[in-house]
Amino acid sequence: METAPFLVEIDNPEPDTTRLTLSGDFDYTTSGELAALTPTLMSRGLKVLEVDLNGVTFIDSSGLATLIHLFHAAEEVPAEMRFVGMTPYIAHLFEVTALDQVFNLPTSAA
Amino acid sequence: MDSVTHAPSTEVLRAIVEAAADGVVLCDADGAVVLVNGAAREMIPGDVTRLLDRSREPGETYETTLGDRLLRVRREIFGIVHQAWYLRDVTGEGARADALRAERERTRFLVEAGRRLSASLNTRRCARATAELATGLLADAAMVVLPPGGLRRTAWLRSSEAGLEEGEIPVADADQVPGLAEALAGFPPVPSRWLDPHQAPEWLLPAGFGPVGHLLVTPLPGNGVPAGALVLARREGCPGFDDETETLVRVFAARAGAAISAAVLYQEQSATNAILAGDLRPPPLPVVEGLELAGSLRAAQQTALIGGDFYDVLPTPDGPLVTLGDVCGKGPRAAVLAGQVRHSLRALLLLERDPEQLMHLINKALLASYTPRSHVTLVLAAIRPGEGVIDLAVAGHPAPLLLRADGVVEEIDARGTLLGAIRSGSITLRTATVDLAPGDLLLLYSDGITEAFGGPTGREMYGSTRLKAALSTCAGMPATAVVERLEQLNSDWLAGGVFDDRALLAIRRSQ
Repeated sequence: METAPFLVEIDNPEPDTTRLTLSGDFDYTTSGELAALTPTLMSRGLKVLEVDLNGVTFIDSSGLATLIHLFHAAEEVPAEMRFVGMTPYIAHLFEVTALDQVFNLPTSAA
Repeated sequence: MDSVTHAPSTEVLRAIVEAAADGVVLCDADGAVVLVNGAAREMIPGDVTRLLDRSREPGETYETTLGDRLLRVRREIFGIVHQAWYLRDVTGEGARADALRAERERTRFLVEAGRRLSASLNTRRCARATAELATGLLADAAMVVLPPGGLRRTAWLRSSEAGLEEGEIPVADADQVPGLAEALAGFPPVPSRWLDPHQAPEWLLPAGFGPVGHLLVTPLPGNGVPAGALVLARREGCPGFDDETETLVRVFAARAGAAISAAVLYQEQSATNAILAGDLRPPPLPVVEGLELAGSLRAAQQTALIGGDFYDVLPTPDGPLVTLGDVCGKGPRAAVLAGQVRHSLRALLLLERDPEQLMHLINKALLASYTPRSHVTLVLAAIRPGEGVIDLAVAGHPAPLLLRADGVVEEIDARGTLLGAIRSGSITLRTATVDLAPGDLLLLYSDGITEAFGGPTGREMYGSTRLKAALSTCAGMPATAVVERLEQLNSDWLAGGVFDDRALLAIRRSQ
């Protein structure tokens, strides 16, 4: 099976805001990359962590676990993690796992 | 007469011949030696004529031995008066060629040994290859004594003209072979000449081997531990083990030892894995009156046959509790966590049977777990068989599907938070109660089924719509047939592609 490469883009639209743009297959084989990045993302002074999942084609339980881990890491800073991009597929997945009750989701897709 | 004046004198010619590096012997027509130069005198102390073969044609070269040396001789005739023999000591040349041949043979042997020894991770096959390789070039009989196992006995394999033989000896009997106990303990080998071959016990050699002339006992060094020993025997009258052979045997033993110890370690690991995996595999489903139960579990890592998906049917006095879950991750790590969740449920079930309460307890247990990222999705179904009522709780897991006897498929309206994920410990659950009429079937499945990538493009998800459609064609079928059919359709979709762990479990109320 061919897979869509998993990509992580990081930029800072505001000084205290970091935006993560994820794309491709976010699964057991690729989630380690974001997990490894997590400590460096949680720099001091971080207030808002935006996560854009618009380009994510597939996400499995390892991908979800990595997002939860990211969410907890942001809580500790403390910073607010919110999702700014979402697909119906991922919104459904968040609903099945009831993570929609935990995460800050964009109102349009929630 | 000038030319005569300038021709070298006999003395000068004699001196030139005398100084030549090759031996020169000059005879007259009658065969009497008239000149022997220094090199020839040095080569042949005493009478030189015994080496001169007058039957040879002029210009012919032949080789002849003198003691332990080899001489190359060429006969030449000068005019009708003189004949000369040129002599060269080629002992060294021959020895060098022999050494090269022997070295090539040793290299070939080691290449072959490497090839055969790396071909297996089975202890017996490695030991067999070791014994068979050593027979022939190295010895008339070769025995591999494996490291002692349990029960104070140790296994051996022997190769000789009599073929391959195998047996076992009490560990204490190793003392009967000179040097064997030391080799088994991993001490470096002693030279063959120090070992008395006459002390070799009868069991060491095949029947009818005859008297032993030479013994060589070498430890097989493993990964830090001895991997047994190699005993080589040559018959009486055969050449002994020279230094080159002893060195070769040590190199060979190092390779064989590495192969055997790798095989021993691998087999120990496999045995351990098999024991651990046995506990993690799905259990046989119990027979519950009024119900049909059927399950299917396919691990992504087929070699281990274990994975992160699991199911169980746990009997209680009020009826069985059916569980189906999926732990985050794959392979053995996931399987271990799955095993922990199954055991936790079994224990908790002694105190609590309500699916919703059980979810809260499991969630707390997972949050307290030492293993990081112990995330689990779970469906719990408490069945009251007599009434056909099922209390359902779903946490982070796809909702079960209900197949009515008339072929209508409904998705159960139950949702809940992934377990072990949210640190605050609070989970939200929307439970459901299902009335199962006779002939109705409740299907529990893991996301490996719906997220199976395949189809015509190989890149399409199977999805819940296809699963529901497939399920709707199963009305009236027994639970086992439904699970088999759904599993088959899903596998066809995957068409041999990479897949996640997949679990299916069907509960059908008998008609």
